[in-house]
Amino acid sequence: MQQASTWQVYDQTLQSRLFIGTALYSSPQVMMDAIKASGSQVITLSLRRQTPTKSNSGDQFWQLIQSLNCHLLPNTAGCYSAKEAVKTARLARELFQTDWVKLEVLGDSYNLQPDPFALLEATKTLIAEGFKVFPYCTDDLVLCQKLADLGCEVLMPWGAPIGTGKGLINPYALETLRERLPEMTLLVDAGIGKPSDAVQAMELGYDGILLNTAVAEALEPSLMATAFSQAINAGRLAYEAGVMPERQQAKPSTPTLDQPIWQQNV
Amino acid sequence: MTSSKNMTINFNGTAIDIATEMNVAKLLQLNDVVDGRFVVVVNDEIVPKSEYDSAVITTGDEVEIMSPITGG
Repeated sequence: MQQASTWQVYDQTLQSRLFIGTALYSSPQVMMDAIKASGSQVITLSLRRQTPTKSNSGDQFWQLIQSLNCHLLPNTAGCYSAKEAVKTARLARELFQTDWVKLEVLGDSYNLQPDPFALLEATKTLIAEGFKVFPYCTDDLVLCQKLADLGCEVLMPWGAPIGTGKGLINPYALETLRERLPEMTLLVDAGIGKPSDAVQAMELGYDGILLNTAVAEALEPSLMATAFSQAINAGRLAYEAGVMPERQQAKPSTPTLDQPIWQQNV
Repeated sequence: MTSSKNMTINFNGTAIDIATEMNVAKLLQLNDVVDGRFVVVVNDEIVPKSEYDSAVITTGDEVEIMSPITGG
């Protein structure tokens, strides 16, 4: 199967355009099988207060993650202030030995919508400290421009609220971001439910997709991971190939010249 | 090192009594923490592994062990 072009994410060149989460799987083995099937080179994970002892499987999750040999993208999930998010990012850097951080600063507990003001504040602090910030943001153009101005090379606007599987609820806004920020690496993060949602984003010119729930909550996560991998590749190939312009009036694809006489009076 | 029978610390969100001041290494040992990937935070400050023997835990301290977990 032909692969879409490689792409640059901060200092890394990647082939896969799918970032995949490690949460919500029914077992560690199901998680491992799904991640491998996805072909993803970047996985998201998090950190919490937890005491690793023999009785609670200790370091098992970390051992599994290490065996995947993927780039790690720790998140600041659950933070509702810039201060909390910055603190979590610093701990994540120490724990995972990476400058990459998926910066989440939530503003509302119902739809888990990012707080744009706190997000900017935290981004400014973290970039000054040398972090490579992957902000989870809304699709607001001005917010995204300001994040770019602060030094983000990657932006991750939502397609829909986390875990809803609603797909791209505002394709116009996402398309506008792509047009107005042509040099920015853009991933749709959150809300993707079906492979066709991912294709839609990729055909808009998005560079990649970050998802978790859509794979983890599928009846067959490993199979769904494969479906997403192929869909994202197909969407990117379509974007690179150039989609035909839409038109209102029908246009025959079969030549009409030299039709037999009984067809010419239609 | 001083000793007291009423030293209480907060260990990963739970108040526990310790018999005496002790270093981080000893605290981890007493709580059956296995070797692996985690970060120790005392009173909001990261304690590097190289300082587990020298960093002393005393009454009122808040100790957190941050470990990798799943995330999206």
